[in-house]
Amino acid sequence: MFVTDTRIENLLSYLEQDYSSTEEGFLLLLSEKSVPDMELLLFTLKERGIKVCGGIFPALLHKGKRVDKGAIIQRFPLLGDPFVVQTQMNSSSPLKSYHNVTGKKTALVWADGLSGYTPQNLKWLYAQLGGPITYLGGGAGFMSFQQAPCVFTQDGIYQDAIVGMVLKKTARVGVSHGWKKIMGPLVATKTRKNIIYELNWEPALEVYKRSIELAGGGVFDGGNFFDLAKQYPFGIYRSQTEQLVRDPLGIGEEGAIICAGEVPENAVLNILKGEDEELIQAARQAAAGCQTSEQPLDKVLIVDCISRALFLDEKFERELWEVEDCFSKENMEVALEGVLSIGEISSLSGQNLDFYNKTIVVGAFYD
Amino acid sequence: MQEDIIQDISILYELSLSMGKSMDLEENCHDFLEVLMHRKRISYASVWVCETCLTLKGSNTYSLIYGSPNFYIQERSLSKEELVPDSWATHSYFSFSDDHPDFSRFVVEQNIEQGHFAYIRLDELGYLKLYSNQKSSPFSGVELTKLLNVSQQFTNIIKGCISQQLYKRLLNDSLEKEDKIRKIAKFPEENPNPIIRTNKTGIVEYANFSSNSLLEILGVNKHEPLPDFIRMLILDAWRKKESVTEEISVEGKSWILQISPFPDENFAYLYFNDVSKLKQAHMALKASEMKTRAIINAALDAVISIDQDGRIIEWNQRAKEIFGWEMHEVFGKTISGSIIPEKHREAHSRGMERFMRTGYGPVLNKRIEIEALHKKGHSFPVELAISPIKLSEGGSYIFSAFVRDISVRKEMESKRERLMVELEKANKYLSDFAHVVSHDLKEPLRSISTLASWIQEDHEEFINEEGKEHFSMMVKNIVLMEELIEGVLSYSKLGRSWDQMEDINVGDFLCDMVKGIALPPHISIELSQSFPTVFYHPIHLRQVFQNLLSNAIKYNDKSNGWVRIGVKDKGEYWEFFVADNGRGVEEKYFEKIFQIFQSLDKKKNFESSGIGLSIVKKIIEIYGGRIWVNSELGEGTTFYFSIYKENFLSDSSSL
Repeated sequence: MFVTDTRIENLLSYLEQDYSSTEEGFLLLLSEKSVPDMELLLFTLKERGIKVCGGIFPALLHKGKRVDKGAIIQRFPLLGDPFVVQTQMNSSSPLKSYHNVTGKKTALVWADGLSGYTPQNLKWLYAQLGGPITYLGGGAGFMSFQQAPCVFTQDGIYQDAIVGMVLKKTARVGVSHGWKKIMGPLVATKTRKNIIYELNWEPALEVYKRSIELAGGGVFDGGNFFDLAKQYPFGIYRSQTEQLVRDPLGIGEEGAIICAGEVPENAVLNILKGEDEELIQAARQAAAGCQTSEQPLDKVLIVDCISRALFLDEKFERELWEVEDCFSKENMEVALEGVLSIGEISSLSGQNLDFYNKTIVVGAFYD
Repeated sequence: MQEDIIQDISILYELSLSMGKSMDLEENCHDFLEVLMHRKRISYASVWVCETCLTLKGSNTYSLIYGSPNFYIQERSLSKEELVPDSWATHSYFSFSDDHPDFSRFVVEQNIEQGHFAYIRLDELGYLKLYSNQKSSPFSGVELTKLLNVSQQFTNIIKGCISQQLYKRLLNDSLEKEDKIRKIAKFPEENPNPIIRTNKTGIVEYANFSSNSLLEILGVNKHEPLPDFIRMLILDAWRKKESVTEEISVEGKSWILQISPFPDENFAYLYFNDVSKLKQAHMALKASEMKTRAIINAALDAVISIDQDGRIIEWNQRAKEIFGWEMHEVFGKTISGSIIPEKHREAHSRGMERFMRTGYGPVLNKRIEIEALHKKGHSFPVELAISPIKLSEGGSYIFSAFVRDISVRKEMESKRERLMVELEKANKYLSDFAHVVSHDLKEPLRSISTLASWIQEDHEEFINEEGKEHFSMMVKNIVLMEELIEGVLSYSKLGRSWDQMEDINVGDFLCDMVKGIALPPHISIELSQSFPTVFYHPIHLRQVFQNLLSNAIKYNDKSNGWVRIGVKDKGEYWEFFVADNGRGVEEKYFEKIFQIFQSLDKKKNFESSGIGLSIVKKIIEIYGGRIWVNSELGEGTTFYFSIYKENFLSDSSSL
């Protein structure tokens, strides 16, 4: 359910109206331009015993369009209370294990998209919750790329953390990006978390610039880094699947490149380039990847990277239309809702949780 | 094709550089396997290493040293047969999927029911076990072959980490041992005794903390020479090239000094051990021993000790005097052959043997009388007490005996017994004699008395006044003679008859007695207000009071004479008195008046047999009491006597 009026009393009336059981919780996705007084909102929700989990995003997706204001509210049956994973936690922290829970289970996971701790938080969460579970989520944050508390549960709003809830519901996830290699390999010879200091034993920015210029991608003039870089992300190779995309977000000290997402040291990188149509078709591919005719479709949640929206610009709605069309063609009429995220989260077929960039993740929930 | 190769190389490159950043086993496993899992889309990876490699001890088990993610981990220790299919155990790698009949047998993880496993052998170290839940297996032979080289590198790094772990453990063990030894050995600095290191010439190079006070007494600082007498000892040890131990004295303290020279190192260690207290204790012990020895030698009894084989090990001066043997003659010889008469030797051997076997000895720790053998061959009686002394727990015994020669005592006892028999005989003879004499004398007296009466009656007209008076005196003397004989008879019969004794209220008793006395008109008797009850023979008590009263009345020459009877409480006994205001007795007769046949007034015609007070004295003494007299001539006399309050039946010792 999409709501435009995000005043606390309005949100509360929707949440309370829809609330029927303590075994249910709400996914609350807020547009960064429609953020109410979060402390008051969450305090009130907690007082009233309403469980909630979600984040603040650059924009929302609703009815095939990008929406900059409003909120998305979705009700889900829960297997447990919403959880928070923070960097200071360790493996002894209490987090309910779902290893032995059989049947429907899906985890909605929302991370601080600009936090360098997100990869290790995801690893810890994965080790705790287990593999035979479908993960779906993304990175929250603000368009300004200034880090601030952006993920929340009814217990509070957090920075450098991930929040989530485990649903008693089946979901299938499709993941795709459509970016292709144009140059490589380059070796990330010196990195720390999401910062690449050196590529091929030289300052990362110099090598990156040179490579893009060589590929005819344009000339960096000092002020256009983001405009150019959004077209040329890095890719980390993985067997039998698409490369893991790492989006260059800015320039660090001494010619370092700051990425959205961790880049392991000595990882072999390629420079990727996106073609509009390939990206749009990738979205359709992601939508197809989560479809099944075995169960009736309940709802669809799209987590699409803000950088894709920026890259596709006016064509972005085509990407959303392709997703919608993919479901329509299979006679799955459903309202598509989602967020423009700073990083996307999913696990492919019960494998490790990954934090993607410039990727679209489509989650289909079935009854 | 070229792209694939480049991608493979890039992954292998990343894998090969992912490890070896440290020597930490877990960190290396994590770094390598994280890259491998992400790049190869592997769901779970684990490393199993045999115990032999981990601990250097033989064992067929394999331990899980790393597994990620941990929600798959279930078993952590397995036998080889449980971990690896036997037929593939020596292969470099192998894989199998859930369609393999033994799939479930080798699922030692939890939450896995289907998928694909791959094993890569890490030399003799163990196995890298991988799991994927992808639909199609990523573990083709080609893919696994690609990983062999980098796996070998991983193996080597793991070996290095394990070796370092073992080395650290061994090093820690070694350090712990060294620490223990250090603590036990107490390095010189911690040693409570002075330890000094000098060079050959005795100049102090090192002195531990405990040496400070000794050096101060010696007046020596570090890097200065020790006193000459110690330097001489150092030179002596140096010359001999061996340790020298000497007792030295410094300021009244005794030290054992051991000097150990190390000529090759050009130094000597001096170890000082303060033995002053030990020496004092030794001297005290020696003094104590000498004192004991002196006591034993001066003892009135012979002190003889023997070991458990019966050999004499102690023989004092008195033993020599009693038995005639010198110490050197008997030391080490058996006691049996020395002082025990032949007839007792077998019993002695049996007793010793029984005690050693059972710990029981009926004659031990008691005073017994027995015959002993003198060096000259004659037997004599001894009294002895034997005490066994255990020298150590479960160890041997010695036996010490105190022996007293009782020959003289025995002789005396024998003589006394003979005398007692003779005395008894004499007493009986005397008693019989007194009885016979008194009886036989009384008969003729009665005849004389009768004949005198007849003569006086038949020839009254022929006898003048003087003759009549002589007859009268003769009759009186006959009566007196009869009384005398009766008294002797009574005296000789006196003795205690316990069965006739009874509680007597003395007050009532005296009142009755006084009533029966025909008092002369000039005499009065005064009794005290109260008298006690005494346990006495009533006839004896009557004899006592009657005799004393009779004397007091008889010898009272006053016109207003009185006799007073009273008693005083003297604690254990009652002190009775009978006082009069008669003519008194001279002090020189105070003892004599109690002797038999002693009457002071025979010449003055008083009717006295001289036996009454003897009888009184004898009665009082029979009951353990005492009688005495106080008197002043012309003023009067007081007799005192004592009677015990308790039933005084046995001891006749006087008060």
